[in-house]
Amino acid sequence: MTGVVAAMSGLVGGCASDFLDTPVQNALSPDQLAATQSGVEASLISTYKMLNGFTNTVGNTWGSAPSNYIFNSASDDQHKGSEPSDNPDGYFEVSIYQWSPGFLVFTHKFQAVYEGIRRANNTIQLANQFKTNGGDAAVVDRIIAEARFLRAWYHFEAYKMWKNVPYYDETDTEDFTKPNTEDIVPKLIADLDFAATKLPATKTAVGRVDQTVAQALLGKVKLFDQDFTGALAAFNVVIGSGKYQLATCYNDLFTISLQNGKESIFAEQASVNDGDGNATNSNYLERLAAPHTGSHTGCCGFNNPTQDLANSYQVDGSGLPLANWNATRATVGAGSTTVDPRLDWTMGRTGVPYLDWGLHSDGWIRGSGWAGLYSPKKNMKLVTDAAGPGWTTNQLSAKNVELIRYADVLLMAAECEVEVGSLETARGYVNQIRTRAGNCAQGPTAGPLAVPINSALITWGVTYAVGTYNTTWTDQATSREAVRRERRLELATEGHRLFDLRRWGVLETTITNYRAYEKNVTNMVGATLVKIGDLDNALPVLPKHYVFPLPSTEIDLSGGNLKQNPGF
Amino acid sequence: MRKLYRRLSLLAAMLLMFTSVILAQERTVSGTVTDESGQGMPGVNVLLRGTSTGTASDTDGNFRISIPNDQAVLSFTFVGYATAEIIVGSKSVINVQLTPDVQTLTELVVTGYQVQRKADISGAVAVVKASDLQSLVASSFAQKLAGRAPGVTTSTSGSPGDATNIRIRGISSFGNNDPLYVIDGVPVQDKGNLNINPNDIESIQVLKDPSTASIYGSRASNGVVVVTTKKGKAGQTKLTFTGSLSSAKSVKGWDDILITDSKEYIDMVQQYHINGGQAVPKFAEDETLPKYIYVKSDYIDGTNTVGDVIIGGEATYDRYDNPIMLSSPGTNWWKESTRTGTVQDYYLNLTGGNDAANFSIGAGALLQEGVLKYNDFKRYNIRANSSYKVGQKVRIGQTLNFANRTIINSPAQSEQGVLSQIYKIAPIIPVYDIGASVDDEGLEDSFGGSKTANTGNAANPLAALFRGRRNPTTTNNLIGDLYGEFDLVKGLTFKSDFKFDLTSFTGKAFTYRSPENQENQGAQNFSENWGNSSTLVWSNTLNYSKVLAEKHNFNVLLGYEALMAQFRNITGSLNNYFTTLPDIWYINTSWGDVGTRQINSTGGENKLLSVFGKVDYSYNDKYFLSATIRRDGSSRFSEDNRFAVFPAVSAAWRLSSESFLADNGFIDDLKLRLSWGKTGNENIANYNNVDRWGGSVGSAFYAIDGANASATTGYHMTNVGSESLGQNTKWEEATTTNFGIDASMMDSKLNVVLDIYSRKTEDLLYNAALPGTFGYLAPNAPFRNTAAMTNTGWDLGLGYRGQAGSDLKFTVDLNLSHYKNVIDRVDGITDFFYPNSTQGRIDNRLPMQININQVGYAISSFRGYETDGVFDDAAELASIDQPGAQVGGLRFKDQTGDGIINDDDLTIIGSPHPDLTYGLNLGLTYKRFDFAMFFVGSQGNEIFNYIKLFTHFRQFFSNVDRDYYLNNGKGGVPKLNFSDTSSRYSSSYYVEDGSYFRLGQLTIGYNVPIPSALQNSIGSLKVYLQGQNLFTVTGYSGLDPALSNANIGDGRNLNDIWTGFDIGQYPSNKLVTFGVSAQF
Repeated sequence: MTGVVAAMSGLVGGCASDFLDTPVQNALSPDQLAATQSGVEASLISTYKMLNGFTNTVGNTWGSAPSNYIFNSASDDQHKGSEPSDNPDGYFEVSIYQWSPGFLVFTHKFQAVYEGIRRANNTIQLANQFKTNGGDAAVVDRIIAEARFLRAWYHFEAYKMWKNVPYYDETDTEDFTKPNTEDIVPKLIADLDFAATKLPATKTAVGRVDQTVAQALLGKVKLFDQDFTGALAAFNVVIGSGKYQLATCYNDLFTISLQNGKESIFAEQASVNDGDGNATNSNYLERLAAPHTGSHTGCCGFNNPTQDLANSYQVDGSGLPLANWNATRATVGAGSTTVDPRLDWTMGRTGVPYLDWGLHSDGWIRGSGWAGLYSPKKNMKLVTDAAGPGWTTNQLSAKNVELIRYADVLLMAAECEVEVGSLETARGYVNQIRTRAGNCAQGPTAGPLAVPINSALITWGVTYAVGTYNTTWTDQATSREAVRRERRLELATEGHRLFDLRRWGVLETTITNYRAYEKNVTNMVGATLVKIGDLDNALPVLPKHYVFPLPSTEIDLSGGNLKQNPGF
Repeated sequence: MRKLYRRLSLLAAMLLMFTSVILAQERTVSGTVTDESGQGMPGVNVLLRGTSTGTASDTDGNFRISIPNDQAVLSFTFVGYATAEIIVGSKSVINVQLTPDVQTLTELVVTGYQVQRKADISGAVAVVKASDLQSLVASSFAQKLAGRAPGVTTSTSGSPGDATNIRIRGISSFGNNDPLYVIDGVPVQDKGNLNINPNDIESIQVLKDPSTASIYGSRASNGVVVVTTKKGKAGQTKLTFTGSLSSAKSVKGWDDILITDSKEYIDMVQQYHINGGQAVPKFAEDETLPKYIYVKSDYIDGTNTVGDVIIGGEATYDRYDNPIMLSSPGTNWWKESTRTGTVQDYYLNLTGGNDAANFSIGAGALLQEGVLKYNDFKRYNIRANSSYKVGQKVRIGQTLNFANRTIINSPAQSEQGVLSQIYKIAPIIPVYDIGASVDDEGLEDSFGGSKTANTGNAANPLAALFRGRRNPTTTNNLIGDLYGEFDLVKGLTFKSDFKFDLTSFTGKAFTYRSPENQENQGAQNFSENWGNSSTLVWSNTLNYSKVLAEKHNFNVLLGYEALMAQFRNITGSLNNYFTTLPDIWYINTSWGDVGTRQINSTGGENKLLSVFGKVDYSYNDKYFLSATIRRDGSSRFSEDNRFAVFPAVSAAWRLSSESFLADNGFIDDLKLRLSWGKTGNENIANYNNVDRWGGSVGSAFYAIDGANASATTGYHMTNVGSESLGQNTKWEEATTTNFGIDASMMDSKLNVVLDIYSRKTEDLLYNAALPGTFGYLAPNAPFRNTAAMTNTGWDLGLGYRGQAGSDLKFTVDLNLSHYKNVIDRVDGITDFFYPNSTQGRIDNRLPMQININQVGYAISSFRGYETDGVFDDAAELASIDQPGAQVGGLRFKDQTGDGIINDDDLTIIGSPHPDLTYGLNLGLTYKRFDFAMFFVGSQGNEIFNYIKLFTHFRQFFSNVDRDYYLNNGKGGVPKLNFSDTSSRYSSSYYVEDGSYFRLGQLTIGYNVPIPSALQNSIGSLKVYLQGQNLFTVTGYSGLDPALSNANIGDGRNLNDIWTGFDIGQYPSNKLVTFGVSAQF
């Protein structure tokens, strides 16, 4: 009322325009943020936030989950799971190589990584403005270094997916239709070199990055670029820093109360009951990998590990992996095969305790064994861990997603050592991993979560063994194979496998062999014999599958500046 | 004291004497008012000229009135008829025959800030009289407008209290296409239009072209709907009561379409697996129904989905852990979830006054039960309008309308909504499990559900409805104005009008656990929101009229206006309530987990400042000229682009007033009209041009310290401003040219109104999705001037009033509308854009954008593959690379001819826009009976039947269309096939002809004769029986071809891009009504 009266008098007084000035409500301007350090820091925090792939603008963008489990379902680690028609956004088609550029899973990943990139660039813009305003130069350098690390991280995620992607920095403000023809690796290296110089020597908070984390990513980027010498140099900085060690028990990595331990180099930091009623800072996009009806979550039943993966944990008399792992099936109960204990930390098998949730049961599997009878496990909280409010209980928690862990770095370093010819160093790294793997096994339901592998508490008919490579490595090809095998076992279902197979150039043979076995696997579901059916219509793996198709809508929206990857 | 008493006594005596003198001369006259056919006319106003004394004729046209003396003049007025004035003289009986007003010259139309004779208007205006719509039961006047006026289409669903979209001459914007509603001068932005009781409305004018609408400048580019409510009239105080009772069912139910028999369902599921080469789920060994359809897997004998025995017996029942469901021989989920709803509508109106003051008071109650169980709408209204004369030169008046309305359990009309659960859930699932489980209030909640593999992920729809029965949204709204009008000098009037529209709303929702569902809700949560908004407008106008030499009519209007709109709301939620008892449904951390509490508020403001002027000139009722100009400033644009000018001119020529047409004996009135003008649209988000930063815990915070139950504050850019993207967004402008003919022929029996128009919209405002390289904010794009489009079309109204014999009269009114929409230009580097994904992406499983806005095509055309039969055999399948295809599945046309079916083969496969929409009104009166019939229809529009993804291709193991099940694999119908991932893609298979023809209304009324003993107390009494939507002729296979696009999407106005998309909307209601209306 008074406003209208004021407007009228304003009109008479000739300053009508003042009436139309409406200050922005419930939002800040970039200028306001750049005025203080805390404003710029908050922008940086939101850049880290995108590590979990989620903002609340467009709902459940499964494709942008930080572990990349959707895309990893195209590997031999995982099935899509659930029921055939329960197929969010093209997830099923990804797993059977019916890749259409139109699938939303690609768009989701694309938008999520570029949101992270934009937030990083916005942070750099604000930091520069803050400096102009008289901000502390050292603070500005540190913020920009963190932002550039994250910018490299997100670009690298895009690079892993599509290889041919556009690179955006803080000078790109209006044109968002850049072409994807340029090799972005040099720019990632420039960002990471800057970060490795300007970042603090040690982390100022567990979720932040420091010079060592930057080196770890730098090594990984160079490894993907087949620069083994360069990569090894970077990994050696990480290993040589002495800051990181393998966790005592394999499962410490996946236990909420032990997160951010000595093995975790860089992890997405999850939280629940933090003031967000939807728990979107939790392991929100990973939750499809929670077991189904009958289980404690009654959830979604996606992401079932494969029989091939289960078999690959079988060991010989020396505790070493079997060369022909699918000759026998990994089983539970009387006469069961001997397996690496990591198997039962990686997947839920019927009859074996599922963490502290009781024995896993076939009834937890959705879709009658159509995608096998195993439940994913690394994403699951313990009974006592706080749950967030998902649509089913216990599906959400403060479970971090490990993005770079020390075992990963050791194995990448081992790969490099193999390629540069230092086979024995590689063997040492692999043996470190295997030694740790033998430390603990899944404990009983009502007992300790982890027990020694020969514990009498293991009463459900499983024999565990894991041995080290005790003979000198002399053959490069054999060594290479052992390192790669170890990488699969150690990092299974953590989102690395597909990208590793591509990087190694063995995608076609591996997937073809895997399918030949997996699609003929049958299981007794109750009294019915059910064949794993999800791979029946899988299309052949071709050279074009070394990259994913770029989202067609993005190509459209770029006016053709983005070029589709060949073959799609 | 004594002295005073004596004086008063004297005064009283004098008064008494004076009165008796008057009484001595007073007498009564009576008579009958008849129409041109000699039939008695009820409801004619009979007024003693120069006084406030008056009466109205009764149902037979009879009247009786006291007159003071022989010099008295009686004036007889009735809408549509020429006023008759009779000097009484010595007569005691006066019979009057009224003649229809040939050119309806006296019919007044509210256009903008003035009232004009309809005859003087040179633009396109459609007038809908309330009397035509009165008996129609509907919760908003907008719903009643369906098919009533040429060029006006409506879209609404059967959901009680649902919004209604009115579209005038199609769609002209990518963004907001709502017309501006002006209720008694108050501009209202409420697409629901639910705050006004339709019974309160006197008339509705639809201003279709700029010469009439541009006086409203901004926001008028989609036309203006001017609503005038009932005002008091000088004369006797009248009390009117109307009441009706209706029973409502849906025009069609899912049980008319789906499989409802469990054995058929089982057979269908088995075919689906067999055809896909998959292991066939067994339901029972002996081909009968299994006894149980779900038991916890550990107890199962047989398979893990069904069985005949529960080990441990039924005693193992546990509501949360082990609900035990006896399989149903066929649950009819539609029947279980719906009911015959009752609609009660009551209204009282009191009106009266004299020359100096008058009033009209209305009160109403609408109590509507939805066809879905536990879904209700209630509204209570009070309206008070009055006006006063103060002295000779000042008039003061006001209008005030209060509405309180509540919607309970309004279903989301989307894949997640209750209606969609009905087509997803399997008939083998029982409504309840075997338990007698009760909730915390002691009410049965042992619902059955899909908690078993291979029965999909549907939720029990009845359970969802039951649990939502106390989730209301309540709105209180006050709309009104207060004005003063001052005659400054002769012909010059100043008017100052203060208007307001105040709304507050509250909503709360409790979420129950749903252990019976496959993806079950595990926690009991509560959320609540409160908000208010206000629009305040102050307008001041000067109006000057002058007649020169009795032939030159001038009218000049000047005005300025300021508008300020604000809103503020707060939402909160708390999870994990320990009980469901409704008395603790408050956000109080005692009742739930404190860490889950979330409370946020937001607000905003926008303003408009306008100056406008209008000149009307007419010469001798033959030639008419009119010019309008309005300059608007909007706070939504940056300072440089804030103001825009909207001019309009129009001219008309009444040929029938020319001598060459005089006395031709056929044409009574003929007028040609031509108009041109511009209108604008500024309906975009506030603060659109600047970057806005902020964010929520969920979108920007991060546990940087590794804390598990707290996160560090983060900010991100929540909205990118248009200026950051290099555009200073400005007004959207529409330029319209309209040519019209009004003709009245054969003694006004035949009336024709034809308008032909072209409307070109430039600088269309839309927040088209940005490239994904902009990140997640891409869908939160700012509104930018994006494109240009053209609408061309015509509106035709034909009316005939006829008579057969002396007792039978009939009317036929037909209105036809056609428009064609073409996108002329899209700015930027592409010749198309997709709807913004937060609004336009219907589905995230059909792997593509289904809607597209492309140059040369209509807005929001359907996009997909063109089907080319089915794959008959393996050889045919091998001949083309169509990923996921199976023998018996749909074959897509290889548009590029490269042997591969991929995105390059996508094409435009349909358009939701009709070729023709129409309404046909038939009216008939015979003695005391009247009869009305109304048809409405649409021709040539297409519907994208998205539900086929479920009912044909079994997304989420849903139930299936029975016809499809019976015919699948035959005659080109794709096979039910588990392994066919290709057929489900967006293709012309989903596109169906959406034409329909519907009997919208059928009414039989009877005017009850009033016994003479009661005639003093009852003026008239009418009873009627009415059916609505009694039958529909259509080839469309879904529930209802009259699809609503009004309550879809993210709740913003921007949902025209959903036009023609069937995603499970609430079907229209079939209503049978008994009503009564009485005047006292």
